[in-house]
Amino acid sequence: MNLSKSAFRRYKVIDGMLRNSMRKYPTIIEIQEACYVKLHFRPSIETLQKDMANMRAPYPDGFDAPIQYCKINRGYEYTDPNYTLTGITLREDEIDAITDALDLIKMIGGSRISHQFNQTVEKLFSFTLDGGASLKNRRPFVQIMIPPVSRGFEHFDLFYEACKERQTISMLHFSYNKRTFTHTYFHPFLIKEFENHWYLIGFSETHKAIRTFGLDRISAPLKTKKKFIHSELSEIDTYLNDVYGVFPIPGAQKEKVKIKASKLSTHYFQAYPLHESQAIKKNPSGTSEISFELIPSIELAQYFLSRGSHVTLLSPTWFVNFTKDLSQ
Amino acid sequence: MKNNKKSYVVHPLFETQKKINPVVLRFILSNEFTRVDFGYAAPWMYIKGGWIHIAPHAYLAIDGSPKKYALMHTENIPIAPQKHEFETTEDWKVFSLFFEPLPIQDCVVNLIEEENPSENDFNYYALKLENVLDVEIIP
Repeated sequence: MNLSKSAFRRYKVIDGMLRNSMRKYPTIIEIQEACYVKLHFRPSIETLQKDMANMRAPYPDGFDAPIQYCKINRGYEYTDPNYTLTGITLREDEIDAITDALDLIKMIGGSRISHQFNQTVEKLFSFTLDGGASLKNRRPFVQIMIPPVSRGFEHFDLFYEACKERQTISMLHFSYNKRTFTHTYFHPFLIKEFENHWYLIGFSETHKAIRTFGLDRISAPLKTKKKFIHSELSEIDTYLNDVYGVFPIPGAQKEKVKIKASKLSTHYFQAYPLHESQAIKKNPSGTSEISFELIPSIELAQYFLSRGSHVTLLSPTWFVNFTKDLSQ
Repeated sequence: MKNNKKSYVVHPLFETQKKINPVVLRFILSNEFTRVDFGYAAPWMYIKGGWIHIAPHAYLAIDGSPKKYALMHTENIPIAPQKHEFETTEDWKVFSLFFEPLPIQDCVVNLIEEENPSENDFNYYALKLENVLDVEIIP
């Protein structure tokens, strides 16, 4: 349906008038006046008649609106009293609640969510907006960091669809470290964001194991009809729940990771837990020993290193050594 | 025509892959074109990574056949005399060459940029395309 925003706003006014049980059978002049009050301009009688004809038109060209002129009452009405333009009747406060929620989604969305999703949000906005309220005039009350669009993000929709429809991808990958290219058939099950970087996780035929690839290093992905290899649900759960970051150390298992935290760091760990398994044992001085049930990952090691002398990794020993090596 | 709109991904096999930069990564076979995807990492021996382009007369040929499948267009690499200049020795690029369509069947292919090549030209020999109908692309 090719429908301008201003036309839809007039439809909303007409719909509101026809559903007003306190003042039934509005005339075309009354509708014109209501448009003036709500939209701050007065559409012509011809425009409004055309609008109602468009609303009457069957879906998808129109809205199947059962509008008729009642000769006895000399005004317009819906022959089906339960009809509404958007299919649902919302109170003013409900529209406000949806608009606030959409504001938040839009704030989180931005460049991070797919183009199609953003379009859908826009559509929802136009449906919930009433009269003169304009999104452009809305000032956000929440702000989160929205990074500029990153390389590879343009394939987000393709990856999302492949995960959802369980489709095998043929893709080209460049390793920053090795400076080599590979072509692999990949069986993705998860797109993961970590610290504003996006990753695709799935079974790699080249590596014959589950692997994580940064979206920025994937080129020219193609969805194929190659038989999809399903990863074990337990492995998927592991990636969803037991890893801090995206690159678990190869061969590592879920185990208790213990650190010693300074007074200052203890405050931060209390305020911003690193993982849901985090357990803090505080000392009288304000320092603490903190444990996590996690699969040690490269990002976890990097996180501890970034805290400098405020965090000392205590166990497991192999992870202590791994982290030391990483710092050199 | 059978398989008119279908296209297939083929991972080429090499007898001996002498040339690894650029590396041939993938063939896409369709009745409209044959696409060859490459990866190129700017080499360390040039101060800023050097430059690349492809000769307009590059072609594909099935091993043992005189028929040439001409280059039609490219993606992400200029056709000579234009050049893509790299900025650093860390730069990299994935690019595609589109040729006239090869028959969609198993074959051994040569990709020729120059008949009498230097070591800098993009010539590849004996690229084996096997089981070409195995992996169909979802349009």
